[in-house]
Amino acid sequence: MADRLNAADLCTRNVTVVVQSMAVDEAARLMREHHVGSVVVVNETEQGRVVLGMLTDRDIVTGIVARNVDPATVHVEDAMSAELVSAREDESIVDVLSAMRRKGVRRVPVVDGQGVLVGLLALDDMLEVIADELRLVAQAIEGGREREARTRP
Amino acid sequence: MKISSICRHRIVTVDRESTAAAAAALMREHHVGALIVTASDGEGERVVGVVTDRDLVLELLALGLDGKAVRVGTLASHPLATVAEDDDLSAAVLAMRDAAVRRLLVVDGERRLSGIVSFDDLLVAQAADMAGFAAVVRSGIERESAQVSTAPASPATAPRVPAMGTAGWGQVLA
Repeated sequence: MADRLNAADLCTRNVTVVVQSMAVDEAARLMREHHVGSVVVVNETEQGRVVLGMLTDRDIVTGIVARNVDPATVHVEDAMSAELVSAREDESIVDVLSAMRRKGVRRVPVVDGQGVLVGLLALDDMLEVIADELRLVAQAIEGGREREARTRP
Repeated sequence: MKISSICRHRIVTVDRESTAAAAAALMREHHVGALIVTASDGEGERVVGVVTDRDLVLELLALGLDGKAVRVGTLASHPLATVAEDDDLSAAVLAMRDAAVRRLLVVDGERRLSGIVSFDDLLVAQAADMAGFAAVVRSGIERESAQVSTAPASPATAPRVPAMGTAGWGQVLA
């Protein structure tokens, strides 16, 4: 199942984005407003929104609040996670999971061949799919028991 | 599996009078996403809430407040959802669902704090169980394909069947 699904199949298309020059306190307001824990940092180009990185609520706490830095004076590009971990839209879920495990991240932006944002893929999205499939397997097992009870009383 | 074997017993606490900036520094230093907020009364420290990294961002930065001026007690979330350390995994899942939270305080029989358990901790424990299911499927196939009788000899004390009718067993007529 998971090796046939790709990143584009499961990712959320509704993504909160910020440009690199936005102040961190403004990004925090967007997180609050959109009920998200991370925003994708992009560079708006003619081709589309080219992904530069991710900024999470955790980045803000450990990088800004803990260091007593004024969030209004820091740009998101200076607070975001240093290394960009992204997934190509045609990458299989198994490969994406393996990269997430190696890099220790729980969300990755999904991009096309030009690095333009397609969506955001979070472990939570994958967990929902897997849990739903598991429930279907359990229901199929129960269905088998019921059929036998019905057809061979 | 009991929650006491899944939860984390290492807890980082912060006094409610501390500043939000100090709380953030503790989260950074101890690599935790949540702190237990405590207050002192005559008998010692009591738990009054939990504050997460997310609370700091949403309640502090997003509202334009100064981390050095805000007391962490004013940001802590209430009420606290708890689970007993003797409860099992599914009880904790239900408690999280009902309270719509991803962390629970773990308490002992006398309502003393003994740990904290996160959604991630529960998921990892559950996944280990699922891996056990997969191993049962695989070992069954391997045993059959080995084509030799590897069935274990009767256990030292084979289970006894209760007398018919005593344990709600259906009576089978030959």
